[in-house]
Amino acid sequence: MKNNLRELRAACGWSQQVLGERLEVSRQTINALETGKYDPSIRLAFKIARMFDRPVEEIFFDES
Amino acid sequence: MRHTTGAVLAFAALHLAASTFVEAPSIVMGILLTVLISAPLIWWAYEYQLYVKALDELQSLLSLQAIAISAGVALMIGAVWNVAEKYLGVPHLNAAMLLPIAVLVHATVLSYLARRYQ
Repeated sequence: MKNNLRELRAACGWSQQVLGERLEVSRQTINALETGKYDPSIRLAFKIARMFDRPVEEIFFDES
Repeated sequence: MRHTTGAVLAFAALHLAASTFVEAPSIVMGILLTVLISAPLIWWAYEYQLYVKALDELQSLLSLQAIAISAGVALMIGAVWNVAEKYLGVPHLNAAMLLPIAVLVHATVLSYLARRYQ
């Protein structure tokens, strides 16, 4: 899946480390999410959506 | 995980010491030795599951993948070596050696998997 997590994070002026701390995940996980190497669990996806006050489908979308 | 090396070394040292200095132990001594020698590994297994539980979802996934692969490789080595012992006459492989083999494979696999997500 693709996502615009990097853009959302940059708009808030957060580093990957800071976003990771806010979401209680590692910087490695944030990087893997942003580069599309890893798709989050439903729980984490909703956590991210709540953090940025956006619907999940606005942040994560199917490549097709 | 920092405790792995210590636990495996403690296990190996106790195992070696017992096999060097203890001959024909009684049932009670045998039970005590088994518990004593296995203790570092049991403690390590408990600590490792606490460690994996504390990881985030990606790191936990990578750890479990590494465990699955290392366990599979160790079992395969044991099985193949057993066949080679029978038909090729290779030296007997002590089953206890499978654990350090699994630990080495686990460390290698985890390192490779982690690098893929850097």
